[in-house]
Amino acid sequence: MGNYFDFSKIPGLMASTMQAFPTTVKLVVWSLIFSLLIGLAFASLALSGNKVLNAVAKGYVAFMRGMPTLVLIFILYFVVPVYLKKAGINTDSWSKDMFIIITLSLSSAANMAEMMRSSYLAVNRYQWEAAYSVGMTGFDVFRRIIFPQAFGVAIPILGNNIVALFKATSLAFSIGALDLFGKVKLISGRLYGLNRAELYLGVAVIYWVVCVLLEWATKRAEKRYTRGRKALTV
Amino acid sequence: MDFKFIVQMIPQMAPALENTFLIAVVSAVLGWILGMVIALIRTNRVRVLARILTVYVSFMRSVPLIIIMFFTYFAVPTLIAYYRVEHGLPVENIAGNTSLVCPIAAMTLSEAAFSSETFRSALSAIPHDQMEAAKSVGMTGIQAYFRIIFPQAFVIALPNMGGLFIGLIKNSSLAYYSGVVEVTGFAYTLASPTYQFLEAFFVIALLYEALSFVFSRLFRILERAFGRYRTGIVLQ
Amino acid sequence: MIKIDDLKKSFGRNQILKGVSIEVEQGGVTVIIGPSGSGKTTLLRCIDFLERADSGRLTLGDITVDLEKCHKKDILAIRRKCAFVFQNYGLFQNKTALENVMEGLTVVQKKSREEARRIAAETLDWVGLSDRMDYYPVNLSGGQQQRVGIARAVALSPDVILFDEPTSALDPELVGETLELIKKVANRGITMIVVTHEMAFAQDVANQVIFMDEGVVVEAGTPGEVFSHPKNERTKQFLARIIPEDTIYYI
Repeated sequence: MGNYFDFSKIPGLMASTMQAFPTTVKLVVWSLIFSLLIGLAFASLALSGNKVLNAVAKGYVAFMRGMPTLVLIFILYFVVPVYLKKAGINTDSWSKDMFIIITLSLSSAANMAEMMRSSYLAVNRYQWEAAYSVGMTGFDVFRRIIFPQAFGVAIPILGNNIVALFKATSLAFSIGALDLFGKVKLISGRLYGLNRAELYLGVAVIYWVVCVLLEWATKRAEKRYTRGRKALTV
Repeated sequence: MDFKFIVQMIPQMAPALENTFLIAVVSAVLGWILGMVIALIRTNRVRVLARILTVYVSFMRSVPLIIIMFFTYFAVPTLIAYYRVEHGLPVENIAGNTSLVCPIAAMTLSEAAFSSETFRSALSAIPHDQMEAAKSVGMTGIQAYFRIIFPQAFVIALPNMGGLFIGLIKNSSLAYYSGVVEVTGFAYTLASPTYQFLEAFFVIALLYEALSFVFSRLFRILERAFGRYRTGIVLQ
Repeated sequence: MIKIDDLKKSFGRNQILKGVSIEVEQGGVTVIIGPSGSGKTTLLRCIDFLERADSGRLTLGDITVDLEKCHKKDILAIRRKCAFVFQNYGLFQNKTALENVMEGLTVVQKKSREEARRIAAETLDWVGLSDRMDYYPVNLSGGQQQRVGIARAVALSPDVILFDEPTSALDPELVGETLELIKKVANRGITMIVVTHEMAFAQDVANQVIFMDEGVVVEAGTPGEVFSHPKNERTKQFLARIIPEDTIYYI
């Protein structure tokens, strides 16, 4: 590769990039919490049996499916604050991270809602009857019979959604937030564009390692949680 | 909302929309062909190649597309320029490159990895006896693939391919950072001077929603058209 | 013991039960027979409120409820006096065989875990599954699953056990042993209502046989009365179809 691609530079660049790792983790964790809460709300609507609420939930999911995350970031960062200000809410003091968390929470909530809805429906409806027949209350049935089974179904999907969320934080740079990739852009600017290939490769490896770890953890969690419950024959 | 702005914006949007389409369609075609090749190599366990591709797929699926795009847009041209300088070749100015090649290359490489997983699971969903049955009537391996395996796998993969294509349309918005004026970049640059972000983003949000709606419908229709094998009903 | 009075139930425009009244005595085994679509399963499900009847009254021990405007509290009270054995076993997929039996004992009857475990283990042993207690349902055969289902019902020591075609999902060679087990349950003196197609079992075990057709009780009586001397033409036709002449007395 000649002297214009310098492998020995990569570890140093990765170390500098990693300074922004806590920011990325913060973005992921908060977005995860909020997206689960918002997702729960929409999943409840979707399962409520009320046609109007159903349509609202479906509409939300479909809307987010069609919306590029980048466009959503721009809308929430450039457009919404103007109207919030008119409504008396000043967003000037809100950090860029906060806008990213809001965006990712809203877009990931659609995936979370779908995850919860489909996992819930994946549990055989006879499980309700069986639990009712031994005299359990609706709440007990959900807590002890339905939820544990739905959760087992949801674990791999949840893992996927977390990976997607983690990857989506890379768009935080678009409004100048300093996540992993934002930091990369900053470093790249300081180096006047030198060693770009090494820099990008370094951050790519960071993403790769984290994603592989997340996937591994997901698989392990699923295995542990559903141990014995799945048929032995493969 | 400034409707005049919107009315003026829409006709100007045609070239940007064309770029969005071009990026999505070309990446889909190239990415899916590559993805199919990767899936075949991995399902047939072609020795070293299958291992390498496993790593490739894992890597490409883990790294955010924007990073791959920055790599093809900023890093690769720089590397090429260095190479040419070193070998005494003339170097073109690489700044301000607005060709579609960079984003399409990035998206094709990433799409190949994602779609290969779809194709791989579709291929593995076809029972072994299909291949055996095809060989038992005297078909060659290639004939068996094209006449028996692929048509069935395609039907299984179609719903996922619809999702992948809509993903490509959405992801094409990142091409804005590769100097390409597609829909998102167009809206951003048009709105910036006068801060008319509301109007600009309102229009393109609607556009993206419409595209996603139309294509999910289209793929639904395709699914129904090709789904004959699966439902077991053959209409003569 | 159990009395159902004028129970009606429709699904959409389709009236499945057109005013059914039956009576079951304490400790007795009542077998409900009839062609498919006659409403016998729906009747059973209405007793346990797995299906909500449109109208009618139900008396179970000292509780009498109006099926139409019955409160949640009454529903739970009745369900806690009944146990149900499902056609498709209805085991909790996230619980082992032992936990399946324990679940109602701990959560509903508020027994201690130790006591529940003791009762569950004893009952599973009684149904012949002492070596399968820690298996999850997916790893049990159909016959074994139904044994767990029966053990779960018996362990609750309910006033009545409702069996909904307990052998019709089983492989033919497993039907016999499962019916033997149900007979064993009957011999414990538990009140039972069994919906089944197994005529020999009905003749052998039932105190009362009820023949239903098109949502009404056509005939009810002892097995001897219903099988040997059916009064109604529909009963005769049904029995002739389902039991060939020369095997009618064969058990």
